Amino acid sequence: MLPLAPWLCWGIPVIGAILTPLLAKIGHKVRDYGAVLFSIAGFIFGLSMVPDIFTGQVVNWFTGERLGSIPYESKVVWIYELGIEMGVLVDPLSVFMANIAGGLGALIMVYALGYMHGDPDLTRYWFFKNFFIGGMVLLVIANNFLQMFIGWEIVGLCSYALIGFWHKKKEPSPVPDYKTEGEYNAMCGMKAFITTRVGDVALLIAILTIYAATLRAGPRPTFNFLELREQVEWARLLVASGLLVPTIILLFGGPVGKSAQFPLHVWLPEAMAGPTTVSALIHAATMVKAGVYLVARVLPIFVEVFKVIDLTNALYTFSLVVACIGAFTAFLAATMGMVAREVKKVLAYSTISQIGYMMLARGRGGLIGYVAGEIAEGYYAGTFHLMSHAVFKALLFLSAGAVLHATETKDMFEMGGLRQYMPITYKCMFIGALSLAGIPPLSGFWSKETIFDAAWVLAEEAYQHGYAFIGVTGYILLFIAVITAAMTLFYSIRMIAIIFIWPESEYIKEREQKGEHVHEAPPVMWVPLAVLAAVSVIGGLFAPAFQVFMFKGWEGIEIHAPAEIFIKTVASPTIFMTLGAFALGGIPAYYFYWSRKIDPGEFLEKHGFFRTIHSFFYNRWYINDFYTKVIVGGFIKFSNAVYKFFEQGIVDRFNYALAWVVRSFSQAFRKTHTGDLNYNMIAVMLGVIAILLLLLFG
Amino acid sequence: MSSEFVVEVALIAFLIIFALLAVELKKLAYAVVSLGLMSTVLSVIFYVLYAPYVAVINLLVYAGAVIVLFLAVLSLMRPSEEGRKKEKYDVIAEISGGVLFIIIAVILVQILITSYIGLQFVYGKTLNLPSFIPLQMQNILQNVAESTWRVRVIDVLIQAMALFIAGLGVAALFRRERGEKE
Amino acid sequence: MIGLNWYLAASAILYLIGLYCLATKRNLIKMIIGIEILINAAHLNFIALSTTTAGLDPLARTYVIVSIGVGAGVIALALSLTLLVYRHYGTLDVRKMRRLKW
Repeated sequence: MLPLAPWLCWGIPVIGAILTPLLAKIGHKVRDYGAVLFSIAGFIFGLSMVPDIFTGQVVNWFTGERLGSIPYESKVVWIYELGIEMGVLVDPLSVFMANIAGGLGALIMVYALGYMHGDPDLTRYWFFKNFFIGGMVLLVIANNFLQMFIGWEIVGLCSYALIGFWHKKKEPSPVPDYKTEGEYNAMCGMKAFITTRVGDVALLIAILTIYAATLRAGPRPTFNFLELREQVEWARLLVASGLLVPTIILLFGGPVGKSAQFPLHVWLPEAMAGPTTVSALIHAATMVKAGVYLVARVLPIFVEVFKVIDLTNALYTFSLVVACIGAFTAFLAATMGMVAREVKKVLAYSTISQIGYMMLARGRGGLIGYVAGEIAEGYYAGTFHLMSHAVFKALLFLSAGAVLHATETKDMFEMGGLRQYMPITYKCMFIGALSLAGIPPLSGFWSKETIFDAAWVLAEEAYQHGYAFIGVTGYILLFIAVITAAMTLFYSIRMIAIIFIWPESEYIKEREQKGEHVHEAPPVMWVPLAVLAAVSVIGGLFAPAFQVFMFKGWEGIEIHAPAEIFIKTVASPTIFMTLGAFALGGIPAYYFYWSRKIDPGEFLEKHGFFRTIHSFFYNRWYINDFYTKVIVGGFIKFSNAVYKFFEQGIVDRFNYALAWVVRSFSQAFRKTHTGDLNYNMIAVMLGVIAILLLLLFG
Repeated sequence: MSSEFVVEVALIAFLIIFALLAVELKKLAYAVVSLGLMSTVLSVIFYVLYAPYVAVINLLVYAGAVIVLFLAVLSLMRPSEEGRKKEKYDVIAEISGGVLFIIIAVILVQILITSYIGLQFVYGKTLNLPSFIPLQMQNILQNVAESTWRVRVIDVLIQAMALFIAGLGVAALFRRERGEKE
Repeated sequence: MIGLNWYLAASAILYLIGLYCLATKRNLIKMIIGIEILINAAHLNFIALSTTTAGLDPLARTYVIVSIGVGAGVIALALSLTLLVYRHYGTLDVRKMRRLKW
């Protein structure tokens, strides 16, 4: 790797972010290209770490000296006794995530050159974008919890700032509660921030609890991942005080918030109010992956520790919770995605759904680890799906951005017939949608299959080892996953069809008449799209290399030969389930949307049952309304009550009473000021008498 | 009853009588004069109480500068002022003459005292005090002389300060007058 | 020398005369005279108490000397203020100077 690569791959974007206002003073073009260059430079440093993972040795390319083997840690210790340090960990998982963040970040920055062209607030945009990339890479490459949490917070901040980026817009807002669209955007940003905050607080409590346990029990308090894996005393202490299970659940609270799982998933659809590049970067490719990264990081620690201490039922609880929440969220979001009206909202729901898949895979990995003692399969499946999802989701968002840029509307039903106007975008988006749905031979298929396969293996192994409950759970999870796959195909086809295949809507016709033609995106925008589409197509072929990559540094994992992987994936029983899901989802979608044999509107009107379901899904299962009324409304009422009764009733009254006492006292005292010197003398004499009495009797 | 007793009681009686007179007399000038007499009697009492320095200073200040001040102020407070310019100048002359006299008296007395006691002390001899002072008192007076000699600068400074303040006060009294004339 | 009590009594009587004058008299000049009587009473007290059969206390005498000087300054200032007050009010009657009334 290039020297200091792990430090620089997050340091360069951060420095670039800080330098952006300076560059802006020089000139607009300098600022734009400079910002993009910084992110590309950071990505190059990140790329340079990849070969080292393959060889297993970290080598400095400039000087040729060997620095260490994987996992390689480079740290600066601040306070040794408290275990506070700052460091980076070169490890398959962190390098992989850093490259995804850096690579997609750089690509989207290039895309943003075209998309955000002419926006007056571009300096702020570049600043937060670069800062975000730096923060995300910091998050994944950190070697201890504290630093990871710092990166976590940085991405939360940048996400808030970027979602509410257009807070000055003056158009009327789409929601009746707010006056202008600008206010609505700001509200979306705040909602994202506050909702993820709830998860952040849970995460922080869990981190500090673990730290406190290491403080009490271990030789040295630590936040470090590697050390937590080696020293196991802290887990014993946590079990002894009964805190292990709550801590683990709270630790998962962070991913629930950041990765938009149930019950904290409500912020992601509103977060689509930001620019599309923001949605692509933050909500498709990186920030929402941070939660999955955390689960992946923590899982080996738990497995190692619990192997030693034999607390495997804690591992079991954790994995079960992760898997169930993941599965339920996937199902939930897919149902909402089927009926959404806006392009970006469909993509947002599909993001939530796919991350649910990833959580499901990780949870299964944990359960398999509980059952059979190794977690490799589920772990690998979740991570592989992460990579392919990042690619095709970014592709989908960017093409949606191109469509939005061209038609300037967010509602899908106002588009239509764009196939003839935007052929390149159509092809790219089509590839992306197929990959999302998991159609072979695109990368989405391979990764989804791996997840199904892992679930199947879990169920089988569970029965083999005699854990009937887990076996049943495994089957249920598999079933939910398959149904969700069907729904995924359904809404992907729906989206593509409505945007591109349907005839032109009134809105498009008006625009054409007015002379604002719907045109293809400029090259700076469709080149990244093509790149991502290509990666999505051939990504499946990377599976074997990926496996070698991921498990470098783990002992006792058998690396399968490449051909074996492909055959194993295709020839397992789950392939039939996948095909069944395709049929279940694809055939209605084809009829409804593609060939337009049955009109969906008429269908809904005829069948009341479907209409009820439709409105239930459309209102997002009323979860959002529940939160707004109960939690937000309740809190505001509570604050009002506190203000009225406490602030005004007690504190203000106390102030008035105090003032009244002082004033009345002084009024009474005024009467002694006669202005006559003789009376003053009499007062002096009284004082003298008092002193004499004091001397006599005191 | 010894003569000492009579003398001291008489002094105390005169003190109180003069004080009462100062308080009760209707004419302000008479009251001020009575005050001056009271201060003089007080000085004598101080001398009898074996405090010669205090006596002299009291005499100089209270029976000198302060009385002069009082009289100056009183004279400035006549109800009417036309046709009294001569009296104004007379008052000025009186006051300045009095101040000069006081300064000269102070200097002379200081020279006397310091030469009488200080020179002897500086040359290392013991004090030759009058014989009616008992021996213990002589020792004590010697100590007093020693200590006051050591801090003799403060003595001079106090006197100078008192006189300076008195002079300032008198000058302040005259300020408006000159302004009004012009 | 007669007993200490005589002098202490004299000092107390002077003190009371001074207070009486301040409390009763209307004329400002009389009041300043009263202040001066008060000061003299204190001086007499000091000197009387510092003259004992065991010895003389030079410290008290020193204080008295200082106090005489300060007292002179105070009276000078009071007199100049009196003069200005007379110019302003036209009278020396304290009962008529009520500007410090509430």
